[in-house]
Amino acid sequence: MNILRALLWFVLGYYVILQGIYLILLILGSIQLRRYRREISFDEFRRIGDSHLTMPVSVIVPCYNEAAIVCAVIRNLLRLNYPQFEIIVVDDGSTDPTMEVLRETFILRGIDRFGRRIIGTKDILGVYESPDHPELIVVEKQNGRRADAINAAVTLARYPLICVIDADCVLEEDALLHVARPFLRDTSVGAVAGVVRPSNGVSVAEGKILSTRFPETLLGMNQEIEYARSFQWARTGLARLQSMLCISGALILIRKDLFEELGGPWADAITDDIEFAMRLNGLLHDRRHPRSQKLVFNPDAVCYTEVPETFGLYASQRNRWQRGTLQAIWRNRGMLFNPRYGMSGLFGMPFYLIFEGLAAVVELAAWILMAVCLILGVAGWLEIAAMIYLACIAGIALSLSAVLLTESTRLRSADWGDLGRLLLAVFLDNLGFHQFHLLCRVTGTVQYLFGRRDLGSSMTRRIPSPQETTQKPTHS
Amino acid sequence: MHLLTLVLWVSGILTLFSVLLVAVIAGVRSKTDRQVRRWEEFQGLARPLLGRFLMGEASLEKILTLLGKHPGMAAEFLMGECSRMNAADRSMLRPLIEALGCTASAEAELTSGNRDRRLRAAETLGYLGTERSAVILRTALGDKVLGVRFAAAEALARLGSSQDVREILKAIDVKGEVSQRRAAEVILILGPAASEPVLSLLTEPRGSVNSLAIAIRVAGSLHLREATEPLRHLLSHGEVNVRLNAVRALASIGDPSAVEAIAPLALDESWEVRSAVMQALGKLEATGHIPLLLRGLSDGQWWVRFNAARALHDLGEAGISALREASEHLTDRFGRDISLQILEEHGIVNKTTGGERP
Repeated sequence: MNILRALLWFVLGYYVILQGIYLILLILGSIQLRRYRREISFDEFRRIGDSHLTMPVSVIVPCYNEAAIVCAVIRNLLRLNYPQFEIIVVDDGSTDPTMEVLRETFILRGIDRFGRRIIGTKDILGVYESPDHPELIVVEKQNGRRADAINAAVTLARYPLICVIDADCVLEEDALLHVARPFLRDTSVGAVAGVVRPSNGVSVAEGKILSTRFPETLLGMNQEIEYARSFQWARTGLARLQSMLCISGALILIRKDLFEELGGPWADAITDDIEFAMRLNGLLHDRRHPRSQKLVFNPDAVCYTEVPETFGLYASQRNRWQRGTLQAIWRNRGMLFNPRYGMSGLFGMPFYLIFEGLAAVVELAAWILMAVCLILGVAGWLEIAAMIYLACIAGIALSLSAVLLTESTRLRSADWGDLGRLLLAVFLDNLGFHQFHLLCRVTGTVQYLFGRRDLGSSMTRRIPSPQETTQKPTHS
Repeated sequence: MHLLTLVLWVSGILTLFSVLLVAVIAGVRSKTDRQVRRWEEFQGLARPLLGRFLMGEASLEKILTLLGKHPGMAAEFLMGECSRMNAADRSMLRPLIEALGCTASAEAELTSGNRDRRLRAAETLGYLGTERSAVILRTALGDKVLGVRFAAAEALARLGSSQDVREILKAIDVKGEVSQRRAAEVILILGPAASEPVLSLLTEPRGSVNSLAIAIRVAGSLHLREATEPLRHLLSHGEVNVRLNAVRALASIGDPSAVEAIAPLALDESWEVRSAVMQALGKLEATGHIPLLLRGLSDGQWWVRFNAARALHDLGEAGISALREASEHLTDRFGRDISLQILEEHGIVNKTTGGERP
């Protein structure tokens, strides 16, 4: 009985430490956000845009079976406000008519283009250009997963900065200016990660974002809050602690030489972006080979990506993320508790293992423990109910803090209606959504341990058109 | 402490905190909405009136009445308008700015102890400043924070203060490629007015090596033909950065007479300089130096080989035929590879299959 009681205290302790870390991240994140806003000088982005000295960027878009959306994504990218950039779209051996759609829409013609091949990839079948859009390059290659497609594109990239985005992403017109800004201010910046938000309520026409509303479904709203928590303060705070070990592949800008030195993302990774981010931290923070480069998070560079709005796709995605996180931690286990990697090794990696990788298992164990304690009479109904309530209210308080931070930026909700739905979703999160998420992660953990390494089922993508969403003014 | 008591206490505090947060979120939202609405209304009234004022159709008093009601928004509005105008058009707003007294508070804030206030004040004065502001901005060039010095330098440049180029360069004496680019860009705001002071700096380089490198960049960007002679002398400077920028600037100016001075640097110890020389020889159409470019094809550094091959291609028929010859008969494999790559890229030789380098 005493052991069960001690375990209850352990669970409470685990939870208090986790929430304590979140609180620290929240404080650090808000300080960083405030500092960032004060740093932006008047008209700075227009000046970066006008400057002929701004560093040129190669934007890489890996695609696999994206025939439905690839043209809309490219049109959006062609509208980017940036002095000099190229777009390299890689068709990673799609089985749908992605290449045919691209050929027809952009009147592609074959060219010879070569580059230093530092990272090995599957064979490139052809390189194409569009006479109407000289900045657009399309690469056709054998299938080899997302990471392989990115690595193939880097071989052909001409510019010193590489921006990788997902094929379902919609970027704000100034996103590249925002994400490139740290490189212009600080020569020691090696890579910059940006903010990702759900695109499900975003309205796009001819590549231009017309309005940025929130998703319609409760599951979508639930992810809106999750993304806000993750990007508004968690990453900002983690970056401050040199522990941003998870960078979304949806928007990252990195020096080409650094990318090549790392060997690019691992082609066999379940989630190549998480694994790449961990390795990047390992390289930048390894004290055996000190270097002055750093990893920066920019809270103002925004990319919209589609989130699953059906429970089946959501489960598949979360299962994959969980397996990917565990795989990335295992592959970079040498960094765990290793002072050689500074804060990344002593705080970042243990945090990811204990509070991300194993969080779902610990939480499930806590539920079982509480049930056992209740049955055996070790704890009363009131005690258990109070503990569950504490877990819920702590989560709500943190989510509300994320909403508050978002509302004080230009990324705030479009209107009172959206804000109301967001707040409602915060309070409804614990009525089933959180538990479902937990189940997906536990399943992912078990399947990872039993050797599952595939990518799961993929989403049928769509770029929201203005007809699909109610026209309301953009909140910029 | 008893587990239940502890949990209940913490839960209670968090519940109250959450309720408070909801109230604050609503307050922030409401305040932001009000601010956005007021700003839009203000702009809707001020912009057409300003347009009429600039065309002489509205009096100074009339626009002053509107802008004077909201001095904070007026300053921000005028900054926005000024940033879209050239220096000559901006001067038309001078009487309005002076009458509103926008600059007085910015001038006072430039001596504030707060770094951000000084930064903002310097930015404001760049757009809204008067001749009087230049005096105080010159003092800000000595600020201990580099960001403020940059902002003050930019503001002075925006005010057209070309006599301050030396002082500006001294204030933003920075190392590194990106920082020096940014510094050069500050001087370039002055446009052709920067030519004379930059030329005098190149002729009598008294400042630091960094200032000199920045001045060379500016000379190149302004295509100053008069700078060719002093730049030639700087090609033998001991600092790599100075030699590198001098080669680039001479290539950018485009005076073919500089070729003979640049060519010997094809054997420079720094690969960056060698690479820049290859580019320059191509840009300056140095057909007489094809052997030097062919030698560059076998350089140990990929960028030198690449730029040598590109330069040969840029030279036209003679260069292309040398490149063809090199792709087949050069003894060095890397030289052959890069020659073939450039020829293929330009569709001069037949397409090879796949993405592999031949």
